[in-house]
Amino acid sequence: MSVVLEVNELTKIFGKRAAVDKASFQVNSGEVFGFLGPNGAGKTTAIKVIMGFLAPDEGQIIINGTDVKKDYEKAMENIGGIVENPEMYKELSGRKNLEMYARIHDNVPAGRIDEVLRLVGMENRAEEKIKKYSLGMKQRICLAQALLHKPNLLILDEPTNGLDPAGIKELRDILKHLAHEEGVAVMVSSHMLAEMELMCDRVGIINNGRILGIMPIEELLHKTSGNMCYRIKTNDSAACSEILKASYGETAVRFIDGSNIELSVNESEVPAVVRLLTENGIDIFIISPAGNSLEDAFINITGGGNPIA
Amino acid sequence: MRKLFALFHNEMIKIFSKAVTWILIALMIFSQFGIGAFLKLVEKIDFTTFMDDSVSDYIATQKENLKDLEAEELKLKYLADAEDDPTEKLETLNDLAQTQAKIYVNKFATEHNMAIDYYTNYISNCFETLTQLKSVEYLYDLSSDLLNEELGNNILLKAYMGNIFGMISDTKSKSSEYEKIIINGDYKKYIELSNEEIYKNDSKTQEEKDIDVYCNELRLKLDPSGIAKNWEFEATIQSISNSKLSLLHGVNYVFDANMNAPLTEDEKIQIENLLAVNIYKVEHGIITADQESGGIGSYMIIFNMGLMFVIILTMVLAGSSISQEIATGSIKSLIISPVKRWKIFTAKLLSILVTSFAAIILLYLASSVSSLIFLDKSESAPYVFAVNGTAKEIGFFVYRFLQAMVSYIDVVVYLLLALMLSTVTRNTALSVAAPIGVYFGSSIAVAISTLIKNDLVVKFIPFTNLNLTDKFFPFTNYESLYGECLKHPLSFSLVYVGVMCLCMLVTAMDSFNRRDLT
Repeated sequence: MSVVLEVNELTKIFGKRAAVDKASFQVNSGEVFGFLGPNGAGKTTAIKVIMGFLAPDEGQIIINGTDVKKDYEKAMENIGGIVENPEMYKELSGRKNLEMYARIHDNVPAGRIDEVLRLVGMENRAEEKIKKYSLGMKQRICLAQALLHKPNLLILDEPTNGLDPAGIKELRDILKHLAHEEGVAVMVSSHMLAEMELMCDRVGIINNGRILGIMPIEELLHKTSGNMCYRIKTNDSAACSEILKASYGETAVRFIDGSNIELSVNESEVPAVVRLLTENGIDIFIISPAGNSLEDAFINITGGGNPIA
Repeated sequence: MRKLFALFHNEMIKIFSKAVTWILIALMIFSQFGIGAFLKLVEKIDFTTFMDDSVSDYIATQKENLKDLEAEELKLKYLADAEDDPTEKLETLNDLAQTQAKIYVNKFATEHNMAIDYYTNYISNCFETLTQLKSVEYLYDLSSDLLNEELGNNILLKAYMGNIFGMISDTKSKSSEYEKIIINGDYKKYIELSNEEIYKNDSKTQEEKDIDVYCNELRLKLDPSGIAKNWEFEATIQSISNSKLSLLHGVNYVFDANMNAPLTEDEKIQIENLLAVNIYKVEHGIITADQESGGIGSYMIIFNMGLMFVIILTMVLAGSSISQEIATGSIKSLIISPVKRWKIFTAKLLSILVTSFAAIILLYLASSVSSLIFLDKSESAPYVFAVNGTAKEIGFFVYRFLQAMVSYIDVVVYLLLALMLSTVTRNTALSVAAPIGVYFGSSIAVAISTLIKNDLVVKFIPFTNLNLTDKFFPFTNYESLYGECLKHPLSFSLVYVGVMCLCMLVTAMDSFNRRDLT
């Protein structure tokens, strides 16, 4: 395993707000790295800086040992990716688009286009114009384009957007295959934890432009193992959340509205919670399980709430 | 370099995948043949049958006029009889003599089945001269009694009448000569008489007389029957005369309206060249007396219509090239490619330059073919220019090609304007609409700029320095334009346009290279 992408202290400022704030992380060959964060956390901005859309205000980006600032073309030679929505030249066919992309790269052998088209399952629709494609098809053809020149770093921004469940599974398998069998460094951003859980080897969590933590997916799962999220409906949720925060910590409790809160605890703790609330004069109407464990972990680590605010 | 070429190749594919490219090229070619055919059609329709009356209509009007003239004559006779003051009486008699002369010429024309107002050539001059001569004759007859009796000792009037008496024998023989010229259509005789007049004129120097006679001889040589229909022919001879006079006196009669300014060294060279070109044109039959219209009017109508489509195509391609790719997001696949941004920009610029250049070549071919098919032969005239007073000729097709190349300068200016707006504003609608507005507004701007009296201000208006065809080929147009070339020389325009293009290019490139693509 070698470091393919190295990001050091990367900062990008829009106006007065730091969209990415001193972010540092690495992506290694042979792994799928998940870039996890709620909407507006700075995932796409970070990816756009890495891919050359935006100029960094501070920090360093090294791809395959080459500093992007020093030799842009060499650094970008082995990077492939999709940023935000998949877009191509609508008036041209999928194949023509790929041919154009291949022309700009130095070493795309003949036959490679058919190979990637087969890989993404688009070999029968490649002659159609892009404007006739569905979102899922565009996503596939863009993936084919990203893979065309056999990059050793693949960066995909929310790649499952627009794909049906079968397509998502297919994509997952392709990415895992690329990373684990062919040694490609894959970086995937998403705000959906379930997806990350199935796909990634390592996860970096970002919110408000800051990297909050980087850990193997197992560790993330371990951190949250056993805990469940429960929704509790009471007559006074404000008082309820104060009482529970005192016993279970700030991060375990989430205020929903005047009558509902959410609480992350082990199942065995539930009777104690009921007792505690009853003893404090809180009337409980309903306790029901809500959400999955990974969601809670995510909320715990990122601090939950609305990150844009 | 390989990558730049690959990017360029891709850009060409994109340009020709757009429907608008093909539509505008098709319109451009269609306009060439469509307008050519239309002009041919217009030429075929004989407007004279709708607009002009025939000779007989003129004669009928002439007969009507006669009644009025005769009534006028009666009135003046009565007035003259009633007048006692000799000076006043002489004036009235003068009017009477003129009216009688008009009656005479009117009757003379009707008698020979001609109408005075029908002619626009030398015959018209003859009628006019005849009227003047006759009025002298009549005045002589009317006032011979007056001289002895009533004028008494009024010396001035005596001198005036003496002058008329001195002329009278000459006048009588001359008026009969002019009558013969009118009846026989004898242009040669007309020129002879004209030359005689020139030599008799004491107010002119020998050199001036020589110039006038030289021009008369040119007229006779190139237009033996005197039927010249082509206004440009007479205008050219007039220009030759003015040029020679200017050189003779070292005073600018050609470009300067007030005729007092001494010739500068530059003007002298220009006038020598203009003279050489005009003489070359008439002697080599490039301007002839009998062609319907001279010059290149119709060809330029056709070519300029096509040029409009080429410029619109260029503005649409340049105005959308960067902003549209950013708006649709297709620029992403370029940005994530291992190429520097300046290469992307350069490839885009080159692709539009090449496309519009190809369109200009296509326009040149289409307009040339169209002019061969539809236009009069005079439209295929070569271009004549002069260096150091020696005239030279450029063949029609080479000339048209060079002219198309000069038009390409304007195309490049509008291209860069649209590309700069596209890059800076990233708004396709604005960056296509604004240059198109500027293009169509330029003629208005030029019209307004003529109102500005300060030459220095006019010089720095961009439009003054566009449309350089007239400046590259100054001998095409008439001398007023040629005069403009002295005020706003080509070299200045080229430097101005060059600097303007460079500024737009640098602004566009810098904006594309440095700004974030959010």
